[in-house]
Amino acid sequence: MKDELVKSAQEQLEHLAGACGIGCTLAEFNVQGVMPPAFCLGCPMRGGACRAERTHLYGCYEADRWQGQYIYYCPLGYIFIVAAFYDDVRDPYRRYGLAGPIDMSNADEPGVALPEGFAGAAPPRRNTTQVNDIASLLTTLGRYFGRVDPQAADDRDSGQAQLQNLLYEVSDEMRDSDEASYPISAERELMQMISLGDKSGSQELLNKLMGHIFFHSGADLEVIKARVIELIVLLSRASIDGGADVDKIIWQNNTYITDVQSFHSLEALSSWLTQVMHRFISYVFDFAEIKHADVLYKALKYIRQNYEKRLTLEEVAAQVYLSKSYLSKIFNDEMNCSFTNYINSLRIEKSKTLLLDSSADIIEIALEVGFDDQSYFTKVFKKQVGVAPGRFRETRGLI
Amino acid sequence: MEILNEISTLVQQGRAPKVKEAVAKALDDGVDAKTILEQGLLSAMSIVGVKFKNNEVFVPEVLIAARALNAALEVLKPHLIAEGVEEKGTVVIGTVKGDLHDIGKNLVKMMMEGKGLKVVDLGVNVSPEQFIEAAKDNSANIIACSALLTTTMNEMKNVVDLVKESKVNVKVMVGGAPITQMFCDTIGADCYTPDAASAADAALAFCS
Repeated sequence: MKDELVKSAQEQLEHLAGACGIGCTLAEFNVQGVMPPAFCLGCPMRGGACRAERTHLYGCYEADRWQGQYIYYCPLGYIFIVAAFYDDVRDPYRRYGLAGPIDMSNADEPGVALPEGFAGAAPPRRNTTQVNDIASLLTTLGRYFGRVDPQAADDRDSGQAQLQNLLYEVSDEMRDSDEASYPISAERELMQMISLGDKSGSQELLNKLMGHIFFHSGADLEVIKARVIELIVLLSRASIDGGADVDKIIWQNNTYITDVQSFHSLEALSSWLTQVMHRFISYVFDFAEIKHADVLYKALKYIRQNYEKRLTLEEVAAQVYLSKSYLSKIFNDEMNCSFTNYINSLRIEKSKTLLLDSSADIIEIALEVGFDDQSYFTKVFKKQVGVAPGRFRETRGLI
Repeated sequence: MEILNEISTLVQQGRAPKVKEAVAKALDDGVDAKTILEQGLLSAMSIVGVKFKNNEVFVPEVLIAARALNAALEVLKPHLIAEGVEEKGTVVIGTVKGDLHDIGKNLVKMMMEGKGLKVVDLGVNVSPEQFIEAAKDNSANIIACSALLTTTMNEMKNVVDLVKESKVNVKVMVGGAPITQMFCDTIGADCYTPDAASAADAALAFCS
């Protein structure tokens, strides 16, 4: 970190310390150990049960691993918080914000006992909520000074945390059932979402698929990589379905397939895959380039959540506080298709999934996806897909 | 049972001193130690785990709950260990290199001791070499490895490989949240168990 930045970071940490009443320092990474907070320098445990330099170094290592934040007990029983003040974990001169000590005992309990003959003041008491508050501020400060891109950081956090959670859920599922089967319908659903530009829904599905791939592969990274390449190819086709440029996408795939080989850890691979998927989605529908982005985004979101019911232009227009005619105009201008066609597209896509994955009657499917009657559904389906729904089901969608 | 619910709540709230009292009282009232463990303590940690997953509580709350759990276990431990122990076998246990999680491992250790096994606890961040050395020094029947992270579970393979290479006569048991039977088979370990109780049973079976 540059010197001016270090000075500025230290100033901000002093402000944080003043506001919270907790000591905050900026520590530099060192394999031998990091400079401990002032409290530790006078602590009798030091040199005995606690090598403070190493205790806090381990805190820093754990922060490296856990998206730049770690909260831990010292051997005495006080809480310390470490936050990354860097963007690149490979930087040998990286810095950390270190806050503590904090006594996190409940207010009505005796609290952590100070060691015999300790002359200093007892560390302040804060409850768990307050510790979270301080941790959050410290981490955000760290990202600011580490010049970390906030969006990237959020994606990394939610993506990796979700992956870990999903792995545990999947493992529970597998423990309960006798055979673990790959959720192929989730794959189709994911492709649908990509072609519709649904970012959050697709993230969820992608994590679910990654969780299953992980377990099916017996944790063999080479097998996982092969499955990931399969996924990338599928996602790329979905993106093309959604309107992305064919040549651009196929050229990209080349790079991705090479990049996949370079990974050594599942977390890094899944985080990268998430970024790749976001890129596919952005090629489908780049909101940054269109006017009325906010209104359309809300309208589309409402439509996606409600298209299976009887949905009218009036209803959607009311949701975004526009007149029916104005919404219709914007829709046509920006989406290059009419409101009706868009809704029908969504319904047809959904019906395809139902046709292939369930054995429900066509009339049931038509009603399920939001059409009023079977003949209209059949007409629209045939126009969009090229064959009648029954035939589509018979031929498993392959012509 | 009322007292068990009370204990569970106290663990969830992270009230270490109060939970120690409650456990002591439950034992005095004649509640079986294993029941207190399973319905009072472990159930509490499951609840905390779910809440953490749902972002209803965060790391600090989990930390104080774990602390309360450990405090309760201190009180419970002498009652979990079998009386008049004729050692049925020796187990070397540890959390693999790179991993610092130990709550699960400590529970397994306690359950195994409760079955009359001698358990040598190597702690956390244990390298394959340390496992082997301890197994040799203690003439262990079993090496038990724990891992909580997807990043560290591959260390278990290193342990299995080193055991084969050094031709030490021990069984390798594996466990931890991301571990599965399939993973166990893939790396060539001898046994996978999903929880502390079945781990203790399996270890006993290996030793007899």
